[in-house]
Amino acid sequence: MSIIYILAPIALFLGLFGVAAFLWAVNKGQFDDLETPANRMLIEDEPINKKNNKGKEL
Amino acid sequence: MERDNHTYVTESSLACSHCGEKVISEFKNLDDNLHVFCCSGCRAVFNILSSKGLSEYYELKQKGPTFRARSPIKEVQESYRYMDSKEFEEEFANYDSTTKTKSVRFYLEGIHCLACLWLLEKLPEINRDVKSSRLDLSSSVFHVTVDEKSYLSNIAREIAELGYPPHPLSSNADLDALETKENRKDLSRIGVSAFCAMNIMLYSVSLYGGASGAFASKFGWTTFFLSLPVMLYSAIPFYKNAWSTLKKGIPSIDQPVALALIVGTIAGFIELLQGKNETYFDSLSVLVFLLLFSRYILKKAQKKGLDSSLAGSFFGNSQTRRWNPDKGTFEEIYSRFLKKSDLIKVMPGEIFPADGVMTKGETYADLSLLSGESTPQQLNVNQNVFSGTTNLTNPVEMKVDFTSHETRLGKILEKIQTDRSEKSPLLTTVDKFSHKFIISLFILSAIVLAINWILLGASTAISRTLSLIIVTCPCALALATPLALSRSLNLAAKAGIIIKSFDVIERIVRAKKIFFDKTGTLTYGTLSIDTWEDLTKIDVPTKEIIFSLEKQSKHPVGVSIYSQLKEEGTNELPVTDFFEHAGLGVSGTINGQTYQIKKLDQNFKQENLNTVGLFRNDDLLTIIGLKDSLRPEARDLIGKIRKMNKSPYIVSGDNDENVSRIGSELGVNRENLYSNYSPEEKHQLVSSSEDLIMIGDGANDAMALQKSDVGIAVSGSVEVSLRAADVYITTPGIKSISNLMELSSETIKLIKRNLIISIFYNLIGATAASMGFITPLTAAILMPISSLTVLYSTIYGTGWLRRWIKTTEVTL
Repeated sequence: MSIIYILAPIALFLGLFGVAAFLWAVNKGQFDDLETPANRMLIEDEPINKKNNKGKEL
Repeated sequence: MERDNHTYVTESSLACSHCGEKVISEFKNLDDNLHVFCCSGCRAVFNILSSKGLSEYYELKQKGPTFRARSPIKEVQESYRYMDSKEFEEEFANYDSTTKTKSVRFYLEGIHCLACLWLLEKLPEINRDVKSSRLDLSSSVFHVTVDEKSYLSNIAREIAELGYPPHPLSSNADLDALETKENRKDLSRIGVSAFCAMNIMLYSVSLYGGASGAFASKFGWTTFFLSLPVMLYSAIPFYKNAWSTLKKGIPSIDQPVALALIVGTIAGFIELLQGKNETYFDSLSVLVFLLLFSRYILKKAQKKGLDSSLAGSFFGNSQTRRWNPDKGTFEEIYSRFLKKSDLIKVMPGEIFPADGVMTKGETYADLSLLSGESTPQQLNVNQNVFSGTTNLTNPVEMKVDFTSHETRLGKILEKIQTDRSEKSPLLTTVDKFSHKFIISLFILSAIVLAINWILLGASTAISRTLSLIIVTCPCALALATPLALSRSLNLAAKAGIIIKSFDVIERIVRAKKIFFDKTGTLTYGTLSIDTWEDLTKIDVPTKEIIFSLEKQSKHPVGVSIYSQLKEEGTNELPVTDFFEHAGLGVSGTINGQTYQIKKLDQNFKQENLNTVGLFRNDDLLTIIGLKDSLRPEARDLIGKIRKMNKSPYIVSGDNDENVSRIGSELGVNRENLYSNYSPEEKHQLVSSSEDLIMIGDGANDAMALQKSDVGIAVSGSVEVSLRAADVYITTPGIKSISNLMELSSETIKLIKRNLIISIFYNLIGATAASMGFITPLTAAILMPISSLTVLYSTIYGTGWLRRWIKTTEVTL
């Protein structure tokens, strides 16, 4: 059972790592706006295609 | 992009290709029959998007989610040149000297879907001056960074051309930063408490499971150290609240919570020192996490309402034209920078930006905003003009006497601000209940401590009192009420009702009297055709004639007759020799005959109606009666209000005649009608009685909206009223008001049910604890069960709430 003395600290350390990551993300402002980024990722990051875009051809 | 992709055209030939609205009269491009538009504004935006290679917008719009209702586009008329002035840049722009850029924030009208986001964030590709652009969808705030040498007016015009009229936001950086900081702190606290609570539970479970010996004491100490961040960091808001309310002598739900946390932690520490494991670290830290979380959700739901109401507050300022004597021309400036004795020019359709005196021209103005009167008033030289009223027919010039907060509108606004800070918070049912609960809890603990001390000795007495305090901690209460309220706030927002603060829900339920404004609230606020009497039997197309003549009229009555006939699909006849007799009527020749439309004198005046007549030469052909007609849903609403045992009142700035007509149409008692009320009198009336709801739209209602227990501003309200009201209805009409009332009463029912459940649990818990049956294990089981029951009850809701959710989902 002495393996617990190694496993428990490892588990705690991993947990702490998670909290640290969360706090870092919060302070970087990743949770400031919850709506826009969730939608922004749906948009293709492509430059505007000028070729096929003459209104009259549509 | 292929031709086939454009299903939005073929889906319904009657939907506008840009905004999707129903097309009443078609607008098309000359060489394009595929696309139909509802107005020239939408057509203009469509053409700009196509020419700039941005047609992908329409594809995205089809696929992506929609957040808000869409409306047709107003055509851009502003040049935004006032944005290039120094005083404007100083106030609204932020300079960055290292990157040689400046940034501005705009509130944009018309943000509604994913495609809007795409379009606006493509701005740097369309306009080289724009370095970066970011849109916040939830608040419709657009942040643009541009080259420091570029003109802001160009950028603003570009945005407006895309169909989003921008309103500059002054950079209130401090307030924003504070809010962001607060939000981040809340989240950090929740995160830390979640991590600690979960790890503590891990070790607690093994302790309950029978861990013994060296493991037991090590696990015990681990739970203690893990609980420290929760008690010392995450729980700070509870301590602060408990302390500040204690100082004021008000019982608050945070007091027993704070007490349980402090006593539980210290007692647990002593237990551990004595080598025992009777600790409550697990229950307490889960409690902290759940409470923080539910409060955060309520805060978010409320903030949504506040954000949306803020949106209205920028529309007051706009551009205007000021006479520049040096150059001898009118120059565009931002109305906020107007000064006393400036000479300005106001175009038709614009709002007068200041109080002053007319110096040139004559026009009709809509004063309903200030007076509540529905008929447009004629304004001549030397007459007074008030800020906030609308110029309807002709361009005029005026001299500015008072600006911003010195105007009549400004004074109303100021009054609203001071009143708002004085508005007393409502002592809700939950507050009252928890006050009693907390006091009886403290008394009970003292009794249990005393009795057990005498009968069983100090150590048993302390441990039983401790378990009592922890197990009766009103977590179910503190958890369920915010969740129930935030859920109702969100449901209401989905249905287009924006509630600014949660105590409105209870205020609505308590209200006994409901005051309606007349113009624009119970009625449409515009004149429409009520009666139509053709006097001649000869076959004359009177409808077509009137339609064609009024088409060119600028008089508000003419405009409303024209637009109503247009909706009916009347044919147009060619008119020659058209002439508008200012303030009197119009005349013109159709098919060789001269026709005239003019106001009829008193002899023809029918009861309570404005009448106009169509003449051929001197023969009267048709009499049209006009009135500001009642909204169709008004009668239904009044009936529902009666059923809820509330009494309806009408208070209006309009004359006796009009008010009593509407009153009798709705069946409101004569003694409940108030006519000829000025904004100040309305305010007086509302403050003289308690438990009332005021529903209105104009600036003349604003002070009353502010003063009443619940002020409801209906759709189309002016900015001032939006700011003053507690509730803002975004869907047209007053239909949703009955929904709001039902939602409120159901929410209060739900909260009361939750109270009963939590009393029941606490009674069992308190009895068990004072008799010594509560151990850390039973507390760890009992507390979550009570919270879960209440949560279930909240989420499952009442039958009515479930039906409401279903119907709102269908309509959205």
